[in-house]
Amino acid sequence: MPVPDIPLGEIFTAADGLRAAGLIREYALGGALAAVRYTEPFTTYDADIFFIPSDPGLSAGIPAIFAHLRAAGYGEEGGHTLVRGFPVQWLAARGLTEEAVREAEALEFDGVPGRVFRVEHLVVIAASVGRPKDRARVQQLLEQGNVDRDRLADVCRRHHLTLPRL
Amino acid sequence: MTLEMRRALARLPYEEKLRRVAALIEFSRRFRRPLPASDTSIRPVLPPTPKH
Repeated sequence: MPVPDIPLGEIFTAADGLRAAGLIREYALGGALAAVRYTEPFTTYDADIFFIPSDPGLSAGIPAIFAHLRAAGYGEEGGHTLVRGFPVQWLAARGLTEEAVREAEALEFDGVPGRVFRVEHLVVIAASVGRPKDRARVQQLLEQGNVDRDRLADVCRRHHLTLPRL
Repeated sequence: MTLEMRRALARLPYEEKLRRVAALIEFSRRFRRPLPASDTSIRPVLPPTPKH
């Protein structure tokens, strides 16, 4: 029986559709699925797409985003969009995560262009959240992710964050 | 698994890593211990890939 894959190219296509429709200014993949780009593979069950909203209001245009995705034929469950059955969460970026979106790395997946958080931003974001699993993620990224220590220090300094003692 | 082995896995192409993530998800779905009826904990379950 074939194993269902992670439809990352189609997720990028959905995000790009939002940008083309003017509902978001920019987007990038963050969270665990982005971390897998830099570390050993580990299980994760959804994709976190961070976006810079076009709507500066409190709603960040989320209702319009979901309306657009529904009209494009995507399913929805528990506040997630389903792209070929795979849950996608849309997160309005602010401060540190907005910088991560703006400085994201361009890539191509299944021939579809997309954007992914740089490893240094993933480290600092995990450190800022601070749960035990985020501390474990910081360690994993530092050990495996070939982190640029100067860039990492810059991000920490700009956002007044220090990494936890591991 | 040693740190060097983990670093070697980290150097795999992204596409290959996501294939392994999908395989891990499928494995954990099949391997998960059946829950007693009284267990109400929330567990993520991926639906099978829709057939077109």
